[in-house]
Amino acid sequence: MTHTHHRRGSKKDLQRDYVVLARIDREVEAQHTYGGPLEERVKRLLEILGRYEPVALLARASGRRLRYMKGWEPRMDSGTHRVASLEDILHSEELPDEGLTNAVYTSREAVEGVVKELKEADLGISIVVSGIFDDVFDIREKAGTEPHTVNMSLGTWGRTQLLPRRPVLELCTMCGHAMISPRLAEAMIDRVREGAQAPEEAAVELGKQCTCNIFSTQRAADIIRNAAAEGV
Amino acid sequence: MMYCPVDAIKAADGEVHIDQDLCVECAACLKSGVCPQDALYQPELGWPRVLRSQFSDPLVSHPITGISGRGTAEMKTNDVTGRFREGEVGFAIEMGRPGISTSFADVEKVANALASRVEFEPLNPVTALLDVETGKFRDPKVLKERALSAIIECKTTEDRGIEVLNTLREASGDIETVFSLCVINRCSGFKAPFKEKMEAAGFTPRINGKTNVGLGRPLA
Repeated sequence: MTHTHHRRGSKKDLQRDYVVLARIDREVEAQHTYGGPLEERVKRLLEILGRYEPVALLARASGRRLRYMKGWEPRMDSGTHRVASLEDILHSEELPDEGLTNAVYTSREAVEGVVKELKEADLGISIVVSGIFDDVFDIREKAGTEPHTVNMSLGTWGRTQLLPRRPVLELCTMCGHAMISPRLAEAMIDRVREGAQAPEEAAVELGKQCTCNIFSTQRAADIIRNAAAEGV
Repeated sequence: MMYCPVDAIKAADGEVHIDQDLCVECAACLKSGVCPQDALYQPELGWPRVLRSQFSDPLVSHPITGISGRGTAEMKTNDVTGRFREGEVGFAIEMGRPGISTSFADVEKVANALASRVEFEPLNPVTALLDVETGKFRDPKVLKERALSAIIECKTTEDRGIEVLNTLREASGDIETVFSLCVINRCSGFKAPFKEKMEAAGFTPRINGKTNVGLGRPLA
């Protein structure tokens, strides 16, 4: 699963877009039992992730996905898409699944704090940071950890002429499973241009479709606002 | 209609219908809950059409592998699995991504081109359908199906990595879709040894990607 990979944008934009993924491997039993009960370790993990103001947080528990996304209010729920508050997730009594959790941040300092605290907590849970390599390596150096493995992107090959235009691609690639339709992204830009919707609300409508909850509504609102202002 | 990632919901002559060839059964339309008539439903899917749902809907697990999503944990848990070891390079070739979708015929073209050069990831759902010696699907009925994306996961030695990239470059000219390409490498200190080899051969990775920071325990 490579769903946080291949996010598009300028260096400046990507420096405000980090995803932290936490996983326990289903095949490695020793990781499930490392350092005590899994439930307590996941509770600690969520406490740490929640403290650094994520713009999105997902916890998978008892087969359900608990989704927090900045700007998403219960009145915006639709279909099967339901928002949870950060408090709901942090105090959930449900048992965690193996898939565990992910969080999205807009500042390097937040990720630095998260990685540093997770190292000190020694939870035994595998942690992956998605973002600009130079920044992530610097974060880890300050946190006192060495990178273990990297996953580099060589971009998109083949009939690239089929891809949508830049701002739409930047919006849609924030959901790696491509559940956000380019036509929906164009419609949201149009609505903002016409003054029918605020960029923040349009961003939430797109983010709701990303059931893995790795979408940054904060970054999306900026992309939509700029695309609408460009008038194309 | 605008919620469909592959533009399969069409309006014509005052009616709306779903183009069943284009539809990848991702259920994005159903999940969005936006049909004013509540007319959308997903019928029971038989073989091989059920593959569309298994590969496209991230909430559906693959019964063969027991994995939801479109691939494996790949490098995300490499600190505890050791799936990719020093001197090895992994590839994830995500056919149809981002958002274009793919036919399984195109998936087979790429897998077939790679077969003699790589070791396919055994836990990957595409591998589960392949004859790994030839890179061809064991059941040819699969070829007529489509998915929002399907990931070919494989690995080889760093020495053969550039050969694999050249093979992929050639194969990319023979397909009707796109693929997004991941290259996975175990770090040596603060460096990824294969990155320099790629750059010397003219393959420049993007500035952003994923880093496993090595906090999983016990270490493999």
